[in-house]
Formats: sequence, C-alpha cells, structure tokens
Amino acid sequence: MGGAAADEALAKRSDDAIAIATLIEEGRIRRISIEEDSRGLMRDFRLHAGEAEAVLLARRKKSVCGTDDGRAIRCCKVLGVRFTTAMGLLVALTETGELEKSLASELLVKLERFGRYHPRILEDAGLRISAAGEDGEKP
Amino acid sequence: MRRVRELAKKERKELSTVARELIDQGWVLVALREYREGKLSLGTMASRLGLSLSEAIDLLSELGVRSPIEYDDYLASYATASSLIGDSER
Repeated sequence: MGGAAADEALAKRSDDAIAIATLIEEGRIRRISIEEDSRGLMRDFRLHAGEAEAVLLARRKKSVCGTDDGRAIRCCKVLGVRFTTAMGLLVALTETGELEKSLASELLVKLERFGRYHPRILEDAGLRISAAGEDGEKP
Repeated sequence: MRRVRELAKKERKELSTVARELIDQGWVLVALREYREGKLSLGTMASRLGLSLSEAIDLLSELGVRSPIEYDDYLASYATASSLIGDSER
C-alpha cells in the first residue's frame, strides 16, 4: 500500500481505518513509499494522491492495482496496468474456496450498500457466489 | 433571493446562515454529480468535500449514488483476481 493511500485510509478513526491500522501493525499490509512523482497522473486522470500512487505502485511492481474507483480503473486501462476490484476479489476467492459461501454472501450484502455497484454486477456476483463449489462449474 | 428568504423564515435562521448552508449543499451536489459522471475520483471528491474516504463512501451510500464501475470492468477485475489467486496457489 502506498504511503498516501495509507494516510487517506487512516485519516479518521473509522472502523475500516482501525482494521487497516491493525493489518499494518501485524505486517500483513506494508506501507511503501513511492519515489516516482504521481502529480502527472493526478492531473491527467483527475485522481487523488492515494489513487495515483496505487496505480504507480502496481505499475512499478508489475503487479495488480486493487481499486474500486472508476477513474483509477480508467487510468489502469490506459497505462496497461492490471486491476481488480473488491467485487472481483470476493467472487474469485469464493470460487476458489478461500472464502466460505456464507461469509461471501454477507460481504456481498455489505458491498451492495457500500460498494454501490450496478445491479447487473450485483446479480452476476450473486449468481457466481451461489454456484461456487456446487458442481465445479462456473456460471 | 425570494427562496432564501422563504427558507430562512421556515427554518427560523438568519438569512446569511441559510445562504451559506445552501452554497455548501450546492458544493456537495456538484462534487457528487461529477463523481457519478465519472469526472472525479472518489479520493478527489472526498478531498473536495473535506471528508475522509470512509465518510465519502458513507455519504455516497446514504444518497444512493452508484459507483461508476462498468460491468466489463468488473468482469476484467474478476478474471484478474481469479488468475492472481490461481498463481498464488501454484
């Protein structure tokens, strides 16, 4: 996680900020400072510092950018950086059995509220989660 | 001005207070509209409104503003996540 993204995530003592702070303390999330200047991306794609840094970090590490932001996704596509979203991860983790279906269903409800995804996305994710592990076939 | 006076009377507030509140609410509305249209990122919108990311997400959720993530982007993100998990298991 980029330093600016971590600062943004930890800005206020919300529940998710506390969870992220704990993961950082436990060393399960690492803060990485980026030397590369993110101002160009911020200007060109109208991104905030944390989002620009996340894209730059993924590009530098030839890795995947995890974001639920539409503009950051557009930036990833233009720069050829692979990206994933919370919903994509939720479905994939459920299908591979890393996440139990009951927990996945609970998280889907949360994402419906806080992720504010398009109904078509929610429907597709719901179907894939329901079908996960039933017959080994993906819907 | 007539509407501002009307609202000030209704809410029993000073004219200047009501005017300031309306400007603030208009500022929020403009930011939300730009976000919904995909012109602003979540972080930029939050920063413009002086909110943390978490507070911005709560506000969007409360007002029912949909995420600008498209279906095809979700499918691509799902494919990437699947291959990522597959790679880590190998």
